[in-house]
Amino acid sequence: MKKILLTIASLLFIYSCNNEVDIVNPVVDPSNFLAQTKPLNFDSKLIMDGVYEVVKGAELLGDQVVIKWNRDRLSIFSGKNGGYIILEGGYLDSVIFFFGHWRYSTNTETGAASFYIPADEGGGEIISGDTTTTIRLIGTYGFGNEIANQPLVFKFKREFSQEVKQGNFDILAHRGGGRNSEYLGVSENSIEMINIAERFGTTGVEIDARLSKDGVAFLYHDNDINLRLTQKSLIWGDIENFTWAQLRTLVTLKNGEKIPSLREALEFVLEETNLRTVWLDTKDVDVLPTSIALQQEILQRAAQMGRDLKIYIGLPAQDVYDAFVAYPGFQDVPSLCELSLDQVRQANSKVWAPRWTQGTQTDAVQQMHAEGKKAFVWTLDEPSYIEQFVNDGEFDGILTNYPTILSYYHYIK
Amino acid sequence: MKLINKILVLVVLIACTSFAQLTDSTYSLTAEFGAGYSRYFTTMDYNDLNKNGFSGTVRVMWNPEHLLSVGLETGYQYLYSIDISNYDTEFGTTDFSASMYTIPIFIMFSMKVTPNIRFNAGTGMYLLFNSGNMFDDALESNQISIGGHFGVAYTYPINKNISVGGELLYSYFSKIQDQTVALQFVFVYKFLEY
Amino acid sequence: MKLLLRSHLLFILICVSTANVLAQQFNMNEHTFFYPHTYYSSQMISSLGLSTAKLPEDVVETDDVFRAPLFSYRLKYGLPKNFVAEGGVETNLITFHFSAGPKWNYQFDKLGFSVGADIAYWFGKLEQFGFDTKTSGWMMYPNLSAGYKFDKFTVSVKSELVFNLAESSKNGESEISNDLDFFNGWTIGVYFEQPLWNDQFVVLGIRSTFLNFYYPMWAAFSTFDRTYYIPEATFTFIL
Repeated sequence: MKKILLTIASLLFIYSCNNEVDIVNPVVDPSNFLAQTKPLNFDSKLIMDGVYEVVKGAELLGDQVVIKWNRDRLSIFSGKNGGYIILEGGYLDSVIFFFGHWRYSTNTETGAASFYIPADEGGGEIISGDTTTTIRLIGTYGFGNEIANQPLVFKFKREFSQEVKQGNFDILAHRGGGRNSEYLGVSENSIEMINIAERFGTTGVEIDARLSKDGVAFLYHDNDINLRLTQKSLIWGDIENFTWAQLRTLVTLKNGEKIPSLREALEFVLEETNLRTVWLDTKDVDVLPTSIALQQEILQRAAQMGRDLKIYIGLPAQDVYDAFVAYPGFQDVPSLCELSLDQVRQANSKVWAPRWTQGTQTDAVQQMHAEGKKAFVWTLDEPSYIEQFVNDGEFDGILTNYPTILSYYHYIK
Repeated sequence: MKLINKILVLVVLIACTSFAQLTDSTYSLTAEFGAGYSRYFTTMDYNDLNKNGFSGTVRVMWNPEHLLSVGLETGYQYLYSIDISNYDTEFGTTDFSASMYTIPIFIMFSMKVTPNIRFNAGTGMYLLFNSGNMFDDALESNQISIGGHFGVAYTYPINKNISVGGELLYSYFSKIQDQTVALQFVFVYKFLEY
Repeated sequence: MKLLLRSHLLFILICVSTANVLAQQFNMNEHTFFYPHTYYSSQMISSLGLSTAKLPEDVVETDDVFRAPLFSYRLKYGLPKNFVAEGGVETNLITFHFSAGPKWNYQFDKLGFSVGADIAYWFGKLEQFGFDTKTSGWMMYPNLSAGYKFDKFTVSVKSELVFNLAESSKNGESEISNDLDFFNGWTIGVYFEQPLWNDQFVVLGIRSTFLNFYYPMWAAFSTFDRTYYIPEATFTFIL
């Protein structure tokens, strides 16, 4: 009997643990104050972009931060634990108000954050669209669902350097903006993720295309229906075994979204975002013709709209590469090749994209530049390496799961 | 016969009784057949989901002279099925059906805790078979999942080679993060002893 | 003839009795590795094992995978005054982990305890599949064990704290070092040791690890600042 109980107890102990993560969603504007404010115009927003000194709150975000507007959010990036803040803002009288949340990229620590810019500390000038370097954001932050009562103050230090302003460096976010394992509240490779990608400083996204049994292209990374990407459903197995109707009806992504079609995703990027680059990774050889056709259509529409948008067909593996170079007119199809330099040339790819684990490969990158091609690197997440690659490398873009960290090191250059 | 020899023979005879115990602890190979009822446990929320079905196991176990035995197992376990008529979707209304069963391929360990009770534990892979129909398109898919079995078995020997009994078996499927509990009748046949 | 008969009978008696003893009793201190018994000076026991672990899906990006098996060889050598020296090597072919350290064992009847600390050096190298990576580090494992001896098997519990002393990695020409937190986490394992056949003892063990950095998983380049629960199962032969 002792032995039985002992065995049961041991097994119960071992199997009682799991890796589930509890995510707190901080309450950011409980009185809905922002509804009373007016939105800032585009020129006003640009005035705020720059590098700021952390006067109070260095224990949270370090000594300096980058502040940058994107579409409809103000983002603040720091070098400490990949910390960032995302804020919504508006002005009332001559004071600008912000409400939002802070978060560390590499874990799930988060909390509410709020700021105001007084009229005499930059608020007035910004609202009128007058350039100023006297900008002070005065605010507070909290932890989890606690009230934000820890002081947080930023003071404008300098603009972004000319190299940063004039350069065309791409901050590329993996899987549409981030992975499920970042616990951002939205699923990777979803419209909802693409919608918030720019808040992380992203200028472009990488998305993964596959083909259903009945020939519909959609976004999905893994090759099977699994619990990493989806909620439990009645169908399991290789995703190419199912029709689009079956997938769309029976499969729900991890955070409750539906699987988007490739058309939906590209049209969203074109019409609803300011993203300028799409790395369209080819997860399945069979999706290539559909991806290329959609790429051509969307690029045409972008040109008609006067939109600066690049869509590259990703060639990650030999079988995809072989299928691509067999495609009629492949030389005119903008592509991104992850293989050798020779294969980049043979496919007439616009971009060479090696894995980061090969190092900065400066000689090879310079060679690509000399031939009029770009070089991206993937998928770089380690903060110390991101800093090294930004400062010592010559890549035109870095694909990362932490665009907030990359944004920090890029904009402080 | 002299006394010493009588004593020696007596002692040997007594020792042989112990030796008989040793010969009771010889090695054997057994085939174990289990069949019974299985209940599927899931967090999926479908009212019409049928979670009751058949469970069967076939094991070949090597039983050395001590407490621990080791062997291989396969079998069949029904997981679930569902049938829905007039299911509303963004593509129209359809009848929908789906089902899943599994075949384990496991390495099994079994430990005798009393003469009749054994603790069984195994791990390996499950072959998951998923099928169904929606919009007149068949759903057919197979997958592999890792997983584990834990069970408690009670068997009673009917004769030298046959035992019967029952087993309560818990199974966990890592791919789908669901489990079953099965109650099986067990038939054990010792087909080799050495 | 009489002498021959008696000799034969005696030999049979001895064999049977010995076999009987072997069938019924073992000196667990001669056959167990994890059970923290006292060692006599220069007593040596070694083990050869295989372990596998269920890796966290956040890191390996798959929801259903066991780590490639980790092979391990460990050796314990008895020293005076209840001390034991232990060392070992673990490998999954792209990673090697060498450890060594002292333990102090105390046994009171069927109950045994031990306390010790191991220092380990590990390194990994991968130059295929788009990698040009070398990584290495030093770790420390203070540990505590307790065990109980039953008639036919022992059960032992071993717990360790895990510390990162140093770590460096190199990818191409880029190199970083000491990027890991000093306190890495802890582990606890339960080990059943018993004979499988004859006097061949085996160990069935389950270990729970709660770690920020799990060294066999280095090639996943996890950047998550989280403690992960990684269960391991182990099967070991005592040599």
